[in-house]
Parts: sequence; structure tokens; C-alpha cells
Amino acid sequence: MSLESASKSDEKTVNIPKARSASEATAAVPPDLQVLAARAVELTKVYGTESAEVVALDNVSVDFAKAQFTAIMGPSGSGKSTLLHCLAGLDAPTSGSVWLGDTEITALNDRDLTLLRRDRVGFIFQAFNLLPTLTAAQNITLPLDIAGRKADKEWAKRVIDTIDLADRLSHRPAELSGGQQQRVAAARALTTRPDVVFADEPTGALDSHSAGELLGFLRQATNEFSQTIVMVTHDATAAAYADRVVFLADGRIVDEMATPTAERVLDYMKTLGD
Amino acid sequence: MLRVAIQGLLAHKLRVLLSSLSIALGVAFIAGTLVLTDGLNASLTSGYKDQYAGTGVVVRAPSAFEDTDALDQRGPVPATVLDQIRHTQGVKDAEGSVTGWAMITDKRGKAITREGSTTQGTSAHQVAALAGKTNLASGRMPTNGSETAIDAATAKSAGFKLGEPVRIVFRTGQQAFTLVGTVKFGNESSFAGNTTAFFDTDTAQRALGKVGQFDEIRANPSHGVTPAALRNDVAQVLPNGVEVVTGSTAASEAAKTIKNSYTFVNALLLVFAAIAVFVGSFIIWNTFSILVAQRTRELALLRAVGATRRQVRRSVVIESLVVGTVASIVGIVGGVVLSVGLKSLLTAFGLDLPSSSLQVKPRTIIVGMLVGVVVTLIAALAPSRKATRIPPVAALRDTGPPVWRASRARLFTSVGITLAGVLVLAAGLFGGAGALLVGVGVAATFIGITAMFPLVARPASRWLGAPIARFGGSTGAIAQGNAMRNPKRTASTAAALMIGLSLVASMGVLAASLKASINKSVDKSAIAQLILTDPTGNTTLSPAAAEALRHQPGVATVSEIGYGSAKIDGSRHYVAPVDPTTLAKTVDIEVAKGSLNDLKDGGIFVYDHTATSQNYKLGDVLTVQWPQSGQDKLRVVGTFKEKGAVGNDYLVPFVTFDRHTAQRLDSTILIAKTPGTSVAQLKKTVDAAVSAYPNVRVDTLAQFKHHIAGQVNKFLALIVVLLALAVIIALLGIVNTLALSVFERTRELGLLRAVGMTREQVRAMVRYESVIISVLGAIVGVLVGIGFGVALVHALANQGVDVVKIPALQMIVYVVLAGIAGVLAAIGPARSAANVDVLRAVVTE
Repeated sequence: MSLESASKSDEKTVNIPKARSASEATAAVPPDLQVLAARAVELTKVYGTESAEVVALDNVSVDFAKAQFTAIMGPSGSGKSTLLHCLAGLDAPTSGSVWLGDTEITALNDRDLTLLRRDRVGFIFQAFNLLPTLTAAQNITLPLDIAGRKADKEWAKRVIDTIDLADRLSHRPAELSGGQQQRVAAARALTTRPDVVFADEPTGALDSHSAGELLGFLRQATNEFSQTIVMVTHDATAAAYADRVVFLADGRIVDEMATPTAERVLDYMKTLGD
Repeated sequence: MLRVAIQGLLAHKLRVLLSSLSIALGVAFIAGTLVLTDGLNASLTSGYKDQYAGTGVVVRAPSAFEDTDALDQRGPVPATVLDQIRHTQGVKDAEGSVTGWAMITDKRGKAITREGSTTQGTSAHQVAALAGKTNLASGRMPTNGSETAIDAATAKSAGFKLGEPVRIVFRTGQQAFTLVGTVKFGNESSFAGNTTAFFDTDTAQRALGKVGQFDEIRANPSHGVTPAALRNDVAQVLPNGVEVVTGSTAASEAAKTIKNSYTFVNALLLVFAAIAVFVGSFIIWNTFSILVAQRTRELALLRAVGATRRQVRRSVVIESLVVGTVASIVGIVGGVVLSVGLKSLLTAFGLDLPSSSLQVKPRTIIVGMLVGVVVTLIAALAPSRKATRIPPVAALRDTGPPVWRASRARLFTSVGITLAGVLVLAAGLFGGAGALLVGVGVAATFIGITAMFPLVARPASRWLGAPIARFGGSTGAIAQGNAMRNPKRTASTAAALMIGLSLVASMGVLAASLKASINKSVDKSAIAQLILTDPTGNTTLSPAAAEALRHQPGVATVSEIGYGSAKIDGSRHYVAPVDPTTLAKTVDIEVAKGSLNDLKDGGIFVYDHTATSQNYKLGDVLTVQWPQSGQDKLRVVGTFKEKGAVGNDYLVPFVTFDRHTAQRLDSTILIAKTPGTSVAQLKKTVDAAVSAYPNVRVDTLAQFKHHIAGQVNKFLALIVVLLALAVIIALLGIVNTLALSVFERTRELGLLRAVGMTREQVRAMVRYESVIISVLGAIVGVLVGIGFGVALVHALANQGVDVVKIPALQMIVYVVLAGIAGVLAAIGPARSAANVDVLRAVVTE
């Protein structure tokens, strides 16, 4: 999508009061919006008090289509992580709304939001993704265990085969390399078959080989399993794995790029840096 | 470094508060005990000083030992001595008085007694100057044989008004008097909690069986004569067997005696205070260990920028000094408050202590501060040393908490310490080496077991957590994993609870064994059907009551057992005078050597354990010194094995005892029925016959066992309450550790919340962890406690405690309560865990 279509959807902003249940939130959405996996509508996030205000996000609106791998890039301080956190339901915006499919997540109370995160969202953070007391296998099924549900055996096997860690499943995180840990985290994110997987700098702490493995895995997930992925990164090489890159600077979306390559992304980032 | 330390403390006020609270409570207990007993001592000492205020000299019969264990440690003095003294130069006034056992009954005819105090009758002072600070609260002193004045406290509690009749019981029987006055002692409404009835001198002498005698003659000097000079003058005119001391000497002697008897209470309370402090020190050690671990990065940073090892250790030591000082100050203030509570507690359990003002001596403050600061310093020693071992490079890496590995060195050291502790404990218990060794042994054993704890903590947590993991879903499984992953942390947290519960459990075993032993003893040895005792446990049964019973229908045998003390071969012992003929018909004392037939005047029976340990053989002659009079040489004519009924190690016939004791009172009367009488009939008869003596309780064997069980239970309850403080400290420790570990696991908690664990699930997880830790501590504590309890019972075997009983249900209840306590302890930490800011927890910058 281009910037124009992003601004057109501004008119369809809906003002809904907070703390409604998930089903009520779903019912109020017009049908043509339901094809999107996730959506931010006029998102603004402000930190601090009047004299020391920091505007992290300034009226950001962006759509994410299903079965797409999107990268969000920008220099430090651009608000990209803040945007991801708001999209994933980890943070609440100062104003604006966030939609996951047909659910307005900014209108949910803490409990419903938690359940939503459990069932419909997957996370990969830069570090501290795994519980040190659980094995890799237990970490992968963690969201399901919390929900009290059993994993779909076939699906789980597919995911585990894809990440290629079948022989390390009974090991604890302390016994895995950084790359292996991140792949376990990715497997966890995928096992629940979420609407969207949100990844916050997943390769930030990895060497280039492990990073490549992880990104390849994510790419495969989108290709083979039609998994929607939204990834924040500062690494042009990582962004090249995506279908689309959204560029942020100073809390605003400044550009988009379809079918990115590492070189084109790097060139563009240089211009942003000025 | 000082500034770094102080600022570090200020930044974490809650942390400092929680860790200092545990020491503060221990110090408060110590300070409270000292304040209480100092107050008691002061009031008793001043009470005696008041008694003898204005008295120049006191004339009395000498005593072989100076303690008022029995009412009559001294014989009386002939009344003629009073005339001699009155005519001695230098004497201004002189007056004689008598004192003896007299029991006031309330309006319903029940005895008015208070545990720990005596019931006395005494003659009223005619000479005001010699009355000390005894003064009238209302009315006047009695002037004839139908009048009495009683202490104001008793008058108030029984609701007596002037002019009303008061029935008073003496050795020889009851009598009714008219109340004409109430008496205060200085400002106190009773003297050391005793009930006191005043009569005019003639009436007192008659009622107390001391016609023509005095127990004490007081005199004050004429103008210009010192008490010491008067004493010397009076000494000249005294006959043999009468001594004179100055009034102040008499006062301090008496005060010292009372002090000795409260030394027991003092020591008992201090032991519990020491336990509380010991448990508190565990909490400090644990807390500081966790804090050092959490501040690894910070401390490593200090090392990286150039702080030396010593400086790092010093900063931890300074922190512990500040915590200890703050805790001690809070503890001392709290102790004053606690002393009031302690007094009410002891009163509620029947140990009535006289009212006293609070005495906060400098010694109390110094001891409190020293204990608090020193214990905190020692407890923080190991963690502070660990802080120095943090390598500077740890500031750059973000290593998680180190994985704890069991080491062989730990295994050997901890087993070694435990064994050493057990040996010292055994030496203290069985070698008779004393209470201090027992204390040191117990402490060492606890330390050793705590050191061993981590070795079992991991498998134990897994085992305990298994049902939780099964039924609590992933929440439970994660909780189990958390308890397992840091066995050292789990163990040290549970250790404090283990200590508290093991002591409670050991007391439970002791009490159950005591009850079982007594029941067994009664069942085995009782031949009589009725047992008469004084419910307050004092020796106050009148021989006249026994005599009255002898002629009742259905009564076959009445056997009296008395109680007294004597110095045997130099050391103080309790002696029971008995009637050998009737004794054999009412109780089987399992004569081992010799025969009761040989227990005549000049003979003595010895408990067989004592005979063995003292190496007495049949025919040996013992030198026995009686308090009221001189020596006796008694020959050992037999040994016996069952001492439950007689209570003491030495038995003499009444004829011997009565010769040395002016007025005997009995501790127990046993009654055997004639064949053809039912026990119920006998009881009815006896109840009626002793109705004039309301201090006598008549029990069948079953009732007696029931009453003793009640006494033991009451004692146990008191001990458990005193231990409750230690247990509370331990639980606070669990709260503290949980809170710190929640803080430590912020990231993990954030992750769990991010992937969809609800607040309620997070709370449940923390609760499960807390329950695992509490139950673990409780189970180990109960097991250790059973061990201690069994050892204690074996050590008391020669006191007649020969049955070992482990009250299984009680132990299970303790463990269940610990689990519940674990749930309660988790409330605060669980809430902060659930409120972790998800975002801040998982974000890396």
C-alpha cells in the first residue's frame, strides 16, 4: 500500500469507548476492513509531562495485510519499537486505535487483552525470550500450556522440523546458543498459529549466520504457512527478507518500499539519516 | 564507599525495612523480657524493702538455707524472747509476728489462690513504726478473734465489702471472720500476688498453731543507736537457736530468694527470645545473599571502576551495620510495648506476676543494641565476602543467576556440622552437662541441617511440586521449576520456618510423651481409687483433712504424701515424707531393693536412678540437713522405681519429717476403698468430708489423668505461643525472599504476561512457589523436631518420662498450617508480580 491509501483510511476512524469485550469490539467494524491482519489508526503516543514531552508516535496510521512479511525500519528514536508495542497490545497509545483483524484491541480490558495476546499474537523479542527453567519443547508450547490447550501435533511437528532443532528439544535455554534460542522463540510464536507474529529486533543479538537462519525461517513461515509477520529491525539485510518495508522517522511514517533489497534499503536509510 | 552504601540503602527503603524487621522482632523479644523481669525484680525488691522499712533488727530462728521454697523454712521463736528484747537497752519498740498458711475462700466457698503466689495468714502489726509500708486501704486492723483484714487485691477480686463475713481455711479447719479492713503494701494492693489475711496477734497464733511462739520479732533502735549496734546488743540476750539480723539484711535476703524463683521465668523467656533472634539472623543472611546476587552488576561496576575488594566488602558491611542499628533501635522501642504483652500472656496462662512499673535499664538498651547489631553483622558476613568475589567483568555481561551445583565439600561440611551439633546436644541432654550445651548443640544442628538443605531442596521441591505441577497446569509447573532451580535460595528461605516448626514439633512430642507417661504411670502404679491434690499444684492439703477421711465409711486406707526440701550430702533435693504402711496399700512404687517395712525413723528410700548415679548402696548413711533445724544421719534402706505418685527422689517416714518441720502440709492424699464400695459412692463420701477444705480437689483416676493432661496442654500452648514469634519471623522471611525473587525475575514475569499469562495466573504461580517452600520447611522442621523431641524424652527418662509418643495428627496439622501460611505470605509478592509492567520487562533498552 502507498502512503495515499494509508491517509484515505484516516476517514474511517471510529471512536469507540474503552473497556469493551472482544466480541462487542468485533461487531462494530465495517466488513471491508476485515481482510487486514492488523491496523493502526491515527496512533499517537506521548511520554512525559508538558514541559518534558516526548512524542514517540505522531498520528500514525498503517495497515498490514494478511500473509505478508512487513519490516518496520527507522533510525533510533524514530518510534518503530513503540509502534510495534502498540500494535502487539503490549502498550497503550495516548490516542488512536489498533485493530487486530476485526478486534479493536485498544478497547479491551487487561484480561481480554492478555487472552488475546495468548491466542492470537506471537512474540519474538531481541533477548529474554525463553523461561530458563523450561526445556526448549516446554518453551515452545508455553502459550498453549498457559491456556490449558494441547498443541496440534501435526502442526507442531511441522514447525519443529522447520526450525531444525529436533535434537535439542529437551535442552534448557542455558544449553542452547543464541541463534538456537531465537529459533525456539520463533517456534513458540508460530505454534499457536497467531493472526500476527510481532518480532522486535529478533536478530539484534545474533551473528550473521544465525541471523540468516532465523530470518530464513520467518520467511518460510510466511511463504509456506501464510503467517503474517511484522518485524522491527535496524538491519537492512534483515529488512530485505520482508515483502514490504515501512519507514518511520520522528514518529511518523515517511515512506514505504515494496520488494526491498538490502542495497535499496541501505540507500534509503542514508537519506533518512540526514 | 560510605556514601555509596547509604545511598544504596535509601534507594531501597522497603528492602531495608523488611530485612530489618526480622531482627527488630528478635531484639524486641529480648528487650521486652528484660524490661519485664527488671520491673518484676524492682517491684519485689522494693516490696521487701518496704516491708522492713523502719525495722532496725529482726530476730528469728536460723535456717540451713536461705530460700523461701516452703512457707516454713524457719522454726518459730518462743514468745518469751520478746520480753527479753523489750528490756534490752537501745530497743525502742519490739513486736512479734506469726505467719502461716491460711486460705481465703470466696463468696461461693471456692479457694482464692493464684499460681505462683502463696496464701498467707499473718498477725497485724500493732506498732506502726515496725509495720513497714503495710498500710490500710480502708477500714481498720482486726482487734479480736472474730475480725480479719485482707489484702486489697483479694477484697476487690472477690467482691468483699467491709462488714461482710469471710471464711478462711487453716490447717486445722475453717472459720468465718468479719471483714473490718483492707490492706495495701506501699502502693500495691497485694504483696507479690499473695493473698494475705490479717488477724490480731492472739488469734493469729491460735489459728496458725503457734500459741506462745513467734515467727519473727522486730525491733527498732532508740534515738542515736544504729541498727548494727542494736543487733549486737540484742544478740547478747538471745538464747541458743535464735539469731538476729538487721532489717536491711532481712529485706535483701528475702528479695534475693524471690529473685531466684523469677530467674526461672527470666531464663525461660530469654531462651525464646534467643530463638527468635537466631531465626532472625537466618533471615538477614538470606536477604543479604539475595541482595548481593541481585546487585552483581552494580558491585561489579564498582570493581571495574577501581574499588578494591575490601571496599566492596566494607560497603556491604556498612549496609548491614545500618540495618542492624535501625533494627535494634526499633526493637528496643518495640520491646517496651512487647513487655506489656508478655505480662498479659503469662497472666493468661496462670503465671500471675505482680504489677510493676516498666524498668528500662541501660543494660537492656546495651544488650538489645549489641545483640541486634552483632547478629546482623555476623549474618551478613558470608554474603559480604561473596560480594568481593564478583569479577569486574560481570558488569559487562548479563549473566543470569549462577546455576547452583551440589559440591562434595558442602556435603561433608554440613554433615560434619550436623553430627557435631547432635553430639553436643546429646552431651548436654544425657551427660548432664547443662542447658547451655543443649542450646549450642541445637543451634549447631540447625546450622548443619540448613547447610545440607540445598542438597535435598531440589529433589524435595520436585517431589512436593509434583501434585502442583499436575493440577496447577503450566502455572504450577513453572512454580515447581522456580522452586527447583535455585535450591540454595529455596533452602535458606525454608530453613527459618524449619527452625521454628522443629521447635514447636519437639515440644509437641514432649507434651504427648509426658501425658502418655503420666497415664501409664497412673495406670500401672495406682492402687487407690481417689487422688486428692491442690489444683494449683501447691502443697496445701491439711493433715486434718486426711484424718477426717480416715473414719469415713467406704474408706479402707488414707495415705498422705508430703513435700519438702533438704540438703542431702551437700546439695539441695526435694524430699517426700510418706507413711510406709499406707503407701504400699495405695500405690505401687515398685520397690527395687530393700523393703518399705524398713522405712522407719532413721531410714530413707532413694529413687533407683538416683541411687545408681550417686552410687548409693543399701546401708549407706546420708547426711541430711533440714531447713528448720539441724542435721540427720539417715540410712538408705531401699530403692524404688516408680516415682510418679511420690514425685521426688527421696522418701522419709513422717515421723522423721515432722520432727524437723513445724507444720506439715501434704501435696497428695490417696484413698483406697473398701471392697463392696463403688468408686462413685466413695467419691461422694469424700467430697462431702473435705467440703471444709475448698483447696482440695478430689479426682478419680480418670479425672486425675484428664486434669494432668490439661495442665500439660496449657504448658504446651504457652510454649507454642512463645515460639510463635520465631515462626512469624520465619514467615516474614518467606515474604521477604519471595518479594526479592519476584523483583529479580521481572523479565521472566514480563515475558509470561506478554505471551498471555493472566494476572490471576501469575498470582497463582507465586502462591504455588510459596506453598512449596513453606511445606518443604514444615516437613523438614517436623522431622527434625520429632528427632529433638524423642531425644528430649529420653533425656528425661529418669524424671519418669518413659513413654515416647509422637502425635502424628498434630504434626500433620502443623504442616497444613504452614501451607496456609505460605499462601498468606505470598499475597504481597504475588500482587507485585502480577502488576509487572509488561513492556518495561521485555524491552531490552
